[in-house]
Amino acid sequence: MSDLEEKKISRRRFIKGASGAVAGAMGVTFVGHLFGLNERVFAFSLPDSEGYLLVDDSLCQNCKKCMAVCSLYNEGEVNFSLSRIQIADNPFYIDQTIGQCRQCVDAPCVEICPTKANHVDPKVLNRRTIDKEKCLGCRLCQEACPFEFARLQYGKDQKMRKCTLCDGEPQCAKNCPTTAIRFIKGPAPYQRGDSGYRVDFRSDFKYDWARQKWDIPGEKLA
Amino acid sequence: MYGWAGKILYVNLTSKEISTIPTEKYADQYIGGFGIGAAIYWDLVASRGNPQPGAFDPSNIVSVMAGPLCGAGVPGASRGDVSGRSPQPYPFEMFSRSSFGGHFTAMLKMAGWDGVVVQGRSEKPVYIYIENSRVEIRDAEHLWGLFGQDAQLEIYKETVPAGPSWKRLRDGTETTQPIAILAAGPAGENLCREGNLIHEGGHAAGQMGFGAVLGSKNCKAIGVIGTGSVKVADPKKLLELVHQRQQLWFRMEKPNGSIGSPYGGQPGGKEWEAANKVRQGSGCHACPRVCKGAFDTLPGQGSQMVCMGSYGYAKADLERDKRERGVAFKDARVSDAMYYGAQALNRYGLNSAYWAKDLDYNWIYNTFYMEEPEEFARVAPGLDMTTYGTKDWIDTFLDMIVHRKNPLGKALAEGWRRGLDILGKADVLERNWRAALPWWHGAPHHRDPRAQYHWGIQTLLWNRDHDKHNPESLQGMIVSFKDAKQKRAMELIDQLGQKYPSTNGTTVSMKGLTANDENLYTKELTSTCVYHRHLNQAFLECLPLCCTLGNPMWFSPYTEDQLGGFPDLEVQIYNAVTGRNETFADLIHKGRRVAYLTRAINVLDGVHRDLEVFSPYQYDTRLSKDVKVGDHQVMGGTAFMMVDGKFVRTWPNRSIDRAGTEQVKTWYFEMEGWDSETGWPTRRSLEAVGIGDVADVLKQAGKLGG
Ligand code: SF4
Ligand code: SF4
Ligand code: SF4
Repeated sequence: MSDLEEKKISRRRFIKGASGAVAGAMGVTFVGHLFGLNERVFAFSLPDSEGYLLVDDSLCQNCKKCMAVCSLYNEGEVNFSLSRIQIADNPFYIDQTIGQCRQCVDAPCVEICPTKANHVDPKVLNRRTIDKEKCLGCRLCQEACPFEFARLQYGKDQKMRKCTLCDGEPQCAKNCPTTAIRFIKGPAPYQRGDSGYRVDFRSDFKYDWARQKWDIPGEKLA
Repeated sequence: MYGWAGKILYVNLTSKEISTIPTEKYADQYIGGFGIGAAIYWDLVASRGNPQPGAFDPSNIVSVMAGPLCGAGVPGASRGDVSGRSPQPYPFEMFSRSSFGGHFTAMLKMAGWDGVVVQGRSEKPVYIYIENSRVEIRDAEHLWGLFGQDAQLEIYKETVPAGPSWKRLRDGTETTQPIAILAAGPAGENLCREGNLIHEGGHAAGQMGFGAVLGSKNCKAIGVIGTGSVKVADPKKLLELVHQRQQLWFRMEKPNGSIGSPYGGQPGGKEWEAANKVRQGSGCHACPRVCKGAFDTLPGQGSQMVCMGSYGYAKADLERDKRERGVAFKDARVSDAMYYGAQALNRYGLNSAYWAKDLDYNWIYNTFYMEEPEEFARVAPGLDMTTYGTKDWIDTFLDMIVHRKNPLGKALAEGWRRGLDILGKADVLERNWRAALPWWHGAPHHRDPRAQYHWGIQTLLWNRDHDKHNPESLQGMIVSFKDAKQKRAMELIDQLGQKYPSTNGTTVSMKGLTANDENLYTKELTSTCVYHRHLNQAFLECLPLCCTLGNPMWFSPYTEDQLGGFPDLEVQIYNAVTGRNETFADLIHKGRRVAYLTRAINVLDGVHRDLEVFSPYQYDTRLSKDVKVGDHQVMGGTAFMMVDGKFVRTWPNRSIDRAGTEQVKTWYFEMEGWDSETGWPTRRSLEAVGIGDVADVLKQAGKLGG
């Protein structure tokens, strides 16, 4: 299931351009095909984030560990409403949805921020992140984010929260027991729709019936 | 108070009183979870002295308690513990407990509560709804009669809908999460003594009939949603420890046994997936193991199923295939009826532990129906046995029990042990050489005491199937090591036992873990049983750590030195969450306190050493690999023994020795400082764990050990 709202994404200003050359030093070959040319904003274009979270909903087992560690790392306490990654489920329909920040190329949340609190941070992988000091709590960025479910979080202190990529070591990806979330350093995934971020990791898991074992080549893991 | 919200919710359904109990009052002495549940039961119910109220008396309580680690992102540490006087034990009801996984306790804490205690009885059906600090007793007339799952779906509809969107609560806060609900099914409403409580599709507080206790209070469910925080003392340290712990237990790139697959603890693979309609895992808060697979067997009903439920009906499903295809039993194959059967138990709300042994469907079909077809037709009119093993059959059968539709249904609604009396079939416990009800109090067969004697003793001297895969998982881990590694593991366990004893001097040792015939009736084995009582209370039922996750993790398959970090890592996690500075000895001593308090309450209930015996067939008939009902082997019939210098899991060929067991009991009581004539705690032993006041109540009831 995708939480992408087409209505919102259509508001985005796409001006054709070329960028996002396919990287050589990926270290993770099997996702290479996901990366290609992205349509880019030429004017006002932001430098690309150097890291992305890719997910496979079908691997998610709804433990919400990612939410717990995300808020532990970023808030110092476990608070699901402030977790930058959201897992939603209706336990009766077995349909998990992972909502992660896409670190968008043309991040609407950054573009709209009146105080530049929401900015590109060259110190950590060009992540799109919030400087709390400057945040007015106007929630414009939350409105602008095309992802209804993965959008930014608003705290009791009336400040916005946003994925920080955990200062370069994403805790959600590090702790997800099934590797449903993987952190990829490289050029931006395909930006139209959500297909660049929602990928099939599940077919990596092959059960070897003869050996009664999972056959998962270690080098395939991010 | 780090790790805790700070308050426990108290709801009296008679007076409609809603108040709070400070968690602080209990957390220091009783850790959390079952410990706090027992202490609250003592204060509100048991300490009033004898006679103790019946399980269905309004003055009985049901408490659902979190432990300090619940909701803190710690792997396998968020089970909820349910306790109160249970209607299930035989011949009298006893104070007991049950537990369940999922997301309930995490959500409870985020709503600002560490537990819920329900007392009294409402005139009309109600459910308790908690939205952060707002607590409501709501009408449940329209939910009465529904399966627990359907009731949850209805509650979603009238409160906060589930699904991937942000929802605003009435206090203005927002969440994407579904409400966590614990509900009674039709079995609980109708006071079936084995009526369970269900959370989501398949997280059940299955054993001990607390669904019926909640049902007796006219309470259908407890639902909670919260948007607050679980505060921890040292988040940085906790993150490190949590990751370390997960790495020791489980790595996706190199799965640990059957554990951890995209299918949730199930074998998985494309063929398997297609045949069994499994979709993916569906687990508990922060758990890497995810023992429950989510199946499409009954779409929209949730289905998180695990061993007990599906194992039971698998036997019926195999019989069905044998009959329908006319094949030999060994060629029979299961279908999704087995999962349907597991789900059916959870929907009607019956304790599936009673349906996964041999005195279950299998006995009904292969013994009762096959051997006495006329008598069977008399007690179970309308039950078509030619459809045994199908989806229809299980629905008809369970409906018959839950609604007491015929003599067989009426008998089994009183639970298996009482049911056998009502049916006039209790002699099965004398002549049965298979797997029936091995213990005096009618707890279900789970592991056969003739094989796993530790399990046997731990259950014999407790109020229920002790249901801890500990020390079984420790024994299993040692078996999994080969050759030099196994030798080293055996040495290590002796060293660890020396380093980490309980405060009454009992400990774990290799000799104590070895179940060879000549080793069963020894002080070492007894010591290991006593030790595990304290250890299990503290670490598995109070913190709590889930035993299905393989806790406590003395060993790891991933480390050079083979060590799994227990107990130092767990103690450090406890300290990082709570900000305390405790040691293993502090915690196990508290576990010992919980064990003694529970024993004292059970003594008030009526427990006496003389009652604590195995069922006759355990002493009189041998267990071996050939022991079967129909074509089915006994579950849990293997023992951990030394064979040719190797520690292995194998089928023993033996029965239990009466005198030997009596000797073990005497040692057990002596090690605990209890009266060995009666098995009752003495004043000194209670004072040793800091609960001397409990002795006064025992004395008044004439039940203090001398
Ligand atoms: S940690 Fe992984 S498996 Fe668990 S909820 Fe998050 S994405 Fe799903
Ligand atoms: S918060 Fe939303 S808009 Fe901003 S980078 Fe993340 S996904 Fe894109
Ligand atoms: S990368 Fe860090 S901040 Fe972003 S969702 Fe994952 S855990 Fe949260």
